[in-house]
Amino acid sequence: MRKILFIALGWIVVGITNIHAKGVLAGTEISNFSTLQYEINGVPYTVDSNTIVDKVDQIIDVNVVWNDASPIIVASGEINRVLTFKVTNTGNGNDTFDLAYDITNPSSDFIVTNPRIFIDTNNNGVFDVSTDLPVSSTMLAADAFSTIFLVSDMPTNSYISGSISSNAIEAKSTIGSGAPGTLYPGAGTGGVFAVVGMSGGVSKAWGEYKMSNDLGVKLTKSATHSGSEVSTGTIVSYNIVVELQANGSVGNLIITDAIPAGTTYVAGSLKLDSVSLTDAVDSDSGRFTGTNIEVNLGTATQSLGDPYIKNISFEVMIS
Amino acid sequence: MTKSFLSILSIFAFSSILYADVSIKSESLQEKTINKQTAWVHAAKVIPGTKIRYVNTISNNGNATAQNLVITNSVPKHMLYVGGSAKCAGVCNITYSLDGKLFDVPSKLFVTENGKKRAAKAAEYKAIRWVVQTLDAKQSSSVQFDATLE
Repeated sequence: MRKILFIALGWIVVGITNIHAKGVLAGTEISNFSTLQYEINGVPYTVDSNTIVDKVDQIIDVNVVWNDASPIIVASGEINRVLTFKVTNTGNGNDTFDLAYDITNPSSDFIVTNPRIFIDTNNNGVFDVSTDLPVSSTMLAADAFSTIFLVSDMPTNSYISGSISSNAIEAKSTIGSGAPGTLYPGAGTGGVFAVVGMSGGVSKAWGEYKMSNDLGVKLTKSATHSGSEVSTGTIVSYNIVVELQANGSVGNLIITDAIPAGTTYVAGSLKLDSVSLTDAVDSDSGRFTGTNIEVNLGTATQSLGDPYIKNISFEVMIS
Repeated sequence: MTKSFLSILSIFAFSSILYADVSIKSESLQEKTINKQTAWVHAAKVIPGTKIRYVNTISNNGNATAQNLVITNSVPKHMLYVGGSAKCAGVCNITYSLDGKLFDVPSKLFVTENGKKRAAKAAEYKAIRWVVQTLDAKQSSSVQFDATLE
């Protein structure tokens, strides 16, 4: 689109310093007229003035904010990790904003790969890989916003925990940008003047990924028992839920639990995800040592959309 | 001959008919700064937050003094009156209205908000009225107010 651009310094009017996020829509007609009543020698007369009409011109303004509450915890090699941004048309007319990413912040400890921009197509605020569409721009009415996702893959190299990668989304008006007060004649909604607001017609916000190698294992143990009362001979069933607290891999993960005092292990009751394990030391991952149950889970891996969850169960009888 | 001519003139002057022809013209102006000099010029670039000055010029084109001139101007839709900006070129009485019907001085204008009565804010004024006692024949005067675009 060809645009005629000039800067009329005199027209950096008071309005520029008083921009409202919400204002009267561009193209709105503001009309005014007055009425005069008077007398000549006691004879009353009434006359109306001419009507003047001023058409509201368009302010070009945009605001981008990073919408995640805190840095997104990531691990090396992860794919499709998401930073969430909100792009708002803070002007007073329709505008289309070109979207661009920036992954080259000099302060970053690591650089992401394969960056892509998606829009929250179904407006649920969450990135849905099979639903949300890739975009390079977003068209917004005055005061409307889009949720924009910057989706990236993490480098496969190892980085120490706490390493940060800063990445940005920039939105730029296709009507025009530049110094506040720059005019674009006829480029506004309905052909009105467009005036660049305080944002300069462009806005950029940075979000952060934070590398973590401290995956952490979460164990949740629960118990149920047979009968309504606990007494000698009552069978108590224990269940241990094993989860990873972040994406990544944990090697040599062995879960051990002591048989409580005053109880006796029920032989053959050890199970992993409802599949029985033998009590003996053999080819399966479980065993009973005489005082503990033990399950060797080996390498536990979790990735986006594929959480790691295992259930270990066994029974004891109250002596 | 001379006496006769003056007599005719005298008759003509005293028999001329008084006629009313007072007009009112409204303008919208906007502040513009050129080379650090501020001036009010015809409004051209109006964006939210812009202050517009509305000027009503009254002109007596008739041959008699107009009396009790009452100029009424509603604050345009989407505009907010700027407190204290209503003025006139000479001597006048200025009142304001919250509904476009009843006019009074600011100290007597109230609104009820959440069940409580409070003084009306200037931005809540819906109309302004100026009363000018007289405007002589062939004379002009003006009244004005400022308002800000929402």
